Amino acid sequence: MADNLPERDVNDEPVEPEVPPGGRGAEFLGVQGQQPGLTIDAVTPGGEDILQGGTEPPDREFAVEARNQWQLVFRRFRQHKLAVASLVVLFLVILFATVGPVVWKYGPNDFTNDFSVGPSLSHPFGTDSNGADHMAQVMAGTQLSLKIAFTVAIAGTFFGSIYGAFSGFYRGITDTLMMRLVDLVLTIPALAVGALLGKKFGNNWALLAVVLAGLLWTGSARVVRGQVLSVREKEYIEAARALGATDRRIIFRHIIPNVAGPIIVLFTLLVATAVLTETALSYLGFGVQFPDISLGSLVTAGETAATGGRGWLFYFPGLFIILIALTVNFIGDGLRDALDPTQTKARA
Amino acid sequence: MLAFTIRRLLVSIPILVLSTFLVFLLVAWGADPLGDFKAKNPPPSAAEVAAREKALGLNHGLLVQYWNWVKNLVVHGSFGPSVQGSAFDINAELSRRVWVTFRLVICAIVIALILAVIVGVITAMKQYSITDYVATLIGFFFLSLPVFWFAILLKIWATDINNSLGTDIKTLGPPGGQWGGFGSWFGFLLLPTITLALSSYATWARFQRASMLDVLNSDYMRLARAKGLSPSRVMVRHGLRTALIPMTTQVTLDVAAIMGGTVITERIFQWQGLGTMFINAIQTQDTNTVLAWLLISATLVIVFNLIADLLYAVLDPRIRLA
Repeated sequence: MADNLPERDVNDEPVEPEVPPGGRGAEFLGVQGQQPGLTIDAVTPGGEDILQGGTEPPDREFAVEARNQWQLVFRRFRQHKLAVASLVVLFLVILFATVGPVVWKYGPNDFTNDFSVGPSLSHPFGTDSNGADHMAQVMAGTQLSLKIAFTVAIAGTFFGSIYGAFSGFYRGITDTLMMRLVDLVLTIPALAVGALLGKKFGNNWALLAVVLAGLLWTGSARVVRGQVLSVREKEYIEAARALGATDRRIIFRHIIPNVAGPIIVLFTLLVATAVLTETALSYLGFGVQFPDISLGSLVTAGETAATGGRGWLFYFPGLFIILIALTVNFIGDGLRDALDPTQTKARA
Repeated sequence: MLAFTIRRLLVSIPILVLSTFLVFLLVAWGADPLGDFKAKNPPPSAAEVAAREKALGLNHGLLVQYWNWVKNLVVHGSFGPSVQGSAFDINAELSRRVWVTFRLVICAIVIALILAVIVGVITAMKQYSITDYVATLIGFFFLSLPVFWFAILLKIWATDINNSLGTDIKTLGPPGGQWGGFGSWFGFLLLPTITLALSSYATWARFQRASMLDVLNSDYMRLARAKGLSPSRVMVRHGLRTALIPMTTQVTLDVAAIMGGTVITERIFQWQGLGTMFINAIQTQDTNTVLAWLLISATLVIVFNLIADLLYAVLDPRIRLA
């Protein structure tokens, strides 16, 4: 190695573009190009050796490994047939809810002359007693329910994860206080307080989503805190601290990426919880309010219809709630298996 | 043990107080008890509104209101006046309904727990077998089931079956009615309990399976077998007992969710319990009733937490209390 060094440096100076290490080493070489003599003089062969051996090759190995990690995750996820199938179904449901209303000839509030007809070719999901096409209603309901569920999941997981990461990172009295607050929130039934606040904020779906996220973030906070408590003791955190990284940098750059797996899984689970909570509230009349349509409020409308023999108004919205919650849960399960490195052993 | 119990009980009190405070803030923020009154047509005069506010104690600041509410509760044991009219006495209403709801909650917890432990243990012992996969699939299905929708479905099916069998529909009698004959009581309790138990069952069975798997793969289980203990003794004394410990925490965490679930279940099966009362209270923006319900719910959660902590001591021989 020590022999190679001067040789490489000599080569580098005249023909910079031909440098084998490529872009990765460009910065390093750039410095050398400006002050070639200085570099060689200042760095002892041994020191250069350590520098190169310490930064460059691991740098490359790490980059390759990182990609492999996600490839591995993807490959493991693909093995979970149910999760892959769920991903496809969920994608179709999302298409149904987003592209569907654009393509479909009826809107949710268009009245036709077909009153209370069962599923047929012209109305695949039938119509209600006003003659409104039920498939258009289900499309609109699915769209809003999905929108709320994803907003809740994003906001809830985001806040919960950061909360949990800080709590686990600082431990001690901060942790105790922060977790007592979580315990406190857990004593409150989300559905009940959701009903109370939903009555007030239900006419604005975004506010309703924020309220639900405010009630459902605790799960993420607890899990992430537990993960962080173990991750923070790892050597690489110690190394980062030894290099003088600030707490904030350690939390956001080192800890959170390393607990990303559980966070992703929590996110999917929260989507399912949020769909079920929102539709339940909307069913009770404390969620999404009238001109807006949620799958839950469609069930309310269909409840009496079902006992009167017009079951389609009741079955279809329920079916879509189940479809969303079930596929999301399966995807979460697949991700959990895929992201857990210990799981490979159990599967093999 | 007694000292621990007392100490633990004392810790619960500040949690309960804080919980009531949080709930009080939420309710004050989320509900307007005079909303209906102000929306009347013709609108009431400012003096009338002020008089109402005074009657309900809303003319004070939030902290004073909270203090008055707590004082009233502790000194007089009263939940305060209701906006649903003077005939609506919150305390009387609560005592009339509380048993209806608690019966439902406790039955649901017991049924869900027994089923979950049995299924969890079996699926863990037969990991990756057909039984395991089927049970897991069913669990996922229950987990993803909208409870309100499923409850209505059950009701429709049950009515159809009843009609085809020619059984006549019985009524429960007065709200919070007597236990009556076991048969009729069971009939009324069956569907609501199933509905309420289902979603908790799914989570718990999964949890029990994971915790049992952990235990099964541990060294001391191998040691127990190597000692020559009988398989059932290994499973129950060494396996199940350890695997139940994390479960107690999980169950207590879900008590709040089950309490919330009663709101839906009672509404669909038209039980005159606390859940229905809660819904009516939200509709009329009756803050004091809402607060009373949330207080009862929080108390239940805290009591279950306490029980779980005490159970820990019984279940986990590593915990020795002074």
